Amino acid sequence: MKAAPEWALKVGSVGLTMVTAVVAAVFVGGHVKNSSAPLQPKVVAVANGEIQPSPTPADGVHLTPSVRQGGAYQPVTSTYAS
Amino acid sequence: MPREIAELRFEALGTTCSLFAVGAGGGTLERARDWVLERHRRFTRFEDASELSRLNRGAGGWGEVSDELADLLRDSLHAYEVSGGLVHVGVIGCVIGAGYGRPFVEGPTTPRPTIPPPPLPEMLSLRPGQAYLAPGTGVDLGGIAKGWMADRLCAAMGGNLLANLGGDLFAAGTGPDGEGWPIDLAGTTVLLQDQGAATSSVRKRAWGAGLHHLIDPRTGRPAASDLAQVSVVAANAAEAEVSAKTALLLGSGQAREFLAARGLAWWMEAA
Repeated sequence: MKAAPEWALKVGSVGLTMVTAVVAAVFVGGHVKNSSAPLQPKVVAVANGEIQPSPTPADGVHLTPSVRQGGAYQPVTSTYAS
Repeated sequence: MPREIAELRFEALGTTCSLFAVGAGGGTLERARDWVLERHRRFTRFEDASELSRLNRGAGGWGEVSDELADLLRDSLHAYEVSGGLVHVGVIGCVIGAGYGRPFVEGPTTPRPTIPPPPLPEMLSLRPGQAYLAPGTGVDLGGIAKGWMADRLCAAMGGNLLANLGGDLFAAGTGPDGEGWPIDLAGTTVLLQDQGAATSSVRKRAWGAGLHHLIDPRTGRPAASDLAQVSVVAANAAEAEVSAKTALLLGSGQAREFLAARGLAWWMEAA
């Protein structure tokens, strides 16, 4: 089998490096990190050298995007305890 | 313009059931009620003649089961799996041992010591048309049947129907205003559209200090959770019921992670 010429290997390596750089730039640009975004869970204090997460109350309704509030409507029934 | 809601309340499954329909033909709610009552008779553990009691009496061998009971038992095994073993229909001996040996309205029975049940897959097996229970075991479907029935009832009846079976409910269709069925979730009104909700609680069906119907299969005793009630909204009533029960048994520390990981809406109340 005939070996590839030296100039072809150089052009190939330069091309591969450039394509990799472009792909990496596109990927990073599409996954921008916001360094000022709040920590989850929120950190409210550092006590005795240990980070303390903020307490979450036991009570309170936690909704999701698939569950809409209907404050203007009178409920027809309740999911009371059975 | 809001459409008129037809409503029917009745007692079944040891609790109060409510059915609501919009634009349904005459007799729809009565047929839906009869559907629930028929399954109550078949799946109650308090009637010797029920299909479930017959299955429990035949523990130690294979027994014939209807398609619907097989479906319920299959869902029971699934609930056990997704709850990490916390939703366990095989705790019937522990429920009776805790004092819930007859219908709740008749009062508690004498408590007696019990041991935790074996893992559900070790005591319950299924094959087409038949179920097997290990010797000395039994199942109580009270913990999952209401959600299962609410889902199946709405699917069977079709249309714009809300089935609330003792707090485990499924809201089918767009409700009276086309925006969803308005449901009270711990003081907040939410609009549910083809979604289910359920509450698990140790405040109801309780008969003494630390004595209630919700058994922790890890101990075989009534759960000693730091939560008293958990309500969940999910894609259907069965999932909501299993998730609420699991969260309550996990306790507040792990319950939030469990519910958040599943993207469910919830409310919980400390004990």
